[in-house]
Amino acid sequence: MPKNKKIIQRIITKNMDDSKISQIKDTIIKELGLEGISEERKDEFLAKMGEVILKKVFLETMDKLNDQSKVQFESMLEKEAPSEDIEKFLSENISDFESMVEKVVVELKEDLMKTEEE
Amino acid sequence: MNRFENIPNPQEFQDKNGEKEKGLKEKIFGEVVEIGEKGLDAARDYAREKLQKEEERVMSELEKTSRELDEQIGKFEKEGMVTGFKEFFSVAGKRLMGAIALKLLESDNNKVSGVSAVIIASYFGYRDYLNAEK
Repeated sequence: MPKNKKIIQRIITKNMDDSKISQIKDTIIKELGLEGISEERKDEFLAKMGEVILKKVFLETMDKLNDQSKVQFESMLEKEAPSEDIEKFLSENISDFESMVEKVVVELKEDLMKTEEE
Repeated sequence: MNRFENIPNPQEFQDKNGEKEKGLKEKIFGEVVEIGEKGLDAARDYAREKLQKEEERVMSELEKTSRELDEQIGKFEKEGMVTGFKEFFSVAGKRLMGAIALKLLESDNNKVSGVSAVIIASYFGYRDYLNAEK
């Protein structure tokens, strides 16, 4: 992995600046047309969105794995396998895993916005 | 054109009860301001109500989806799956979401796109929520 990629990854997953996270949160809230709500409520929305996205990703993942891979995946989770191994396993067993997650996110956003227009 | 231009400007005038008041223009202008303020208050109330309705709608939509997903996740547990969603989140979710967000950010020349922003924000939001629950 190139050095700069490692650095960015570390920034995102571990040391992301609080102001940057707050800026990103505001972007989402704005996209949902919810500017003006309290900070506490913003956090509740984002937590709920995160929960829904991760649950969807989990279900999609299970749906795409065959029986044998499911058992293997379960065993990796139980043993708390290193995340690099899990990432490798999923990308080997599910074609274009990132696109699958991207699709989940886009669909959720569209669903939330679609109901708004109706 | 100034709407007050043709209004006479007596120093004093009589109101409908025959009492003397001063400054017709000032009186009319005061009423206009009062009506404007009432309009602004109504507009603010409307905006507040609209935001509240939207807030409730989005949250209820999310909660409904989350409950539906819980039912589906429950099916996996009934089928004898030992690990569930929480294990998935704590072991795989953190890393995966970070890695995916990174890829999306990179493909966007490091600008935060809508999709990567949702992933990052929702991941951090959910993680903070779980931490607060502990």
